Amino acid sequence: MSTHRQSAGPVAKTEGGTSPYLIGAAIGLLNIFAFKAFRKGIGVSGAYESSAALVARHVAPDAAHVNDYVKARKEPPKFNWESWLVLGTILGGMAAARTFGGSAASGIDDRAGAEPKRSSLASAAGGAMLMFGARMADGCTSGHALSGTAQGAGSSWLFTPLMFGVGSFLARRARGAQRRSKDLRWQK
Amino acid sequence: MAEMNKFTQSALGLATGIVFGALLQRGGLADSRTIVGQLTGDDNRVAKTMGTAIAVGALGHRLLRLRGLTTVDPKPMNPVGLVGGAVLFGAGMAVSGYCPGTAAAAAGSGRREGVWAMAGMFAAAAVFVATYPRLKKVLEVGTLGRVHLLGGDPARPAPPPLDAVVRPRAARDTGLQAEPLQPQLNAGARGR
Repeated sequence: MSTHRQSAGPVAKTEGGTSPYLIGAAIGLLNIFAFKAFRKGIGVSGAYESSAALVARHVAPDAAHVNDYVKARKEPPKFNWESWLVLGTILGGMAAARTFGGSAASGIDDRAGAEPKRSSLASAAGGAMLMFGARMADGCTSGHALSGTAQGAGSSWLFTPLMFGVGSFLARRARGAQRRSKDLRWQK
Repeated sequence: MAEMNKFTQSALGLATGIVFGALLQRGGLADSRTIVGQLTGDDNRVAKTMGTAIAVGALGHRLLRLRGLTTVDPKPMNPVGLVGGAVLFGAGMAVSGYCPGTAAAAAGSGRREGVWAMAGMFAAAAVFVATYPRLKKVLEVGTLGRVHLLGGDPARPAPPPLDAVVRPRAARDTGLQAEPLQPQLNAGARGR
């Protein structure tokens, strides 16, 4: 996590334009639509699991113990609306970045040859950690933090503050260590 | 929208995803700096966005539920899985600056780090699939079932919850009363 570049801080803050409250309200409305249409809120991490299971079943069913997995889950993995939702999320990110040219912040990142802000290893390792955690907890920032909390699920109200608390603690520690190593000054 | 066919459902899922991804990107959330900025306290956009989304969603969910148009379906309260998962998730979010949804939006918007994060996520999901049969018992130690904070009893027409099968043992251990179980599922659980 020491790979995070601090210099973009104040710049990134003023960019993006759209009010976070407006974006949040729109996400809330979208989730209401999902509650009605699918009788379930938006959830993302489950689709990663079912897609991984589907791939495993084709590629290496024995190594991945897919039969035991299906027995334990009581349900074969499916490519369902949640998987389409993840594909849509990729397309939506693409469409928004192309249509609006991306926010100024992402413009920096999207430019060819731009310095990556994080090593690929940090991105992949972090992604792996959090996905395993999400499947252990049966939900992620969308399934628990957005949809679960909105319906008053006890599990989500346990998961969400704890997850942000741990992340916050570690990110602050990392930033502190980075600053100390930078100018050998103890930052409180 | 009572019973949708599979095609409609997939199409709506895709459409929902497109709007979701676009909103994440427009809100600056498809950027690891925004998420790490929230964790370090330098940038409050994540809190503002999510707080509003939760408030609006909760209000809408309540209205829908009162009119019987949606269900209450809390994910099971498995203390071990939730606490262990939250710690791993928080750490992974601090390291990568993403979560499963924002990484997808970031990958779509052309960020390489989003693609790498998604690759790591798929790899971990595969490891989870391979280990789940053995992990399941540990994750569900001391489970309290589906806990709803407001109003207690989830008013839903009870589609048999997947985890009902594992609850009886845990419920017996903790002295809690399990919900009536589907006998054949129960038998299946013992057989394992």
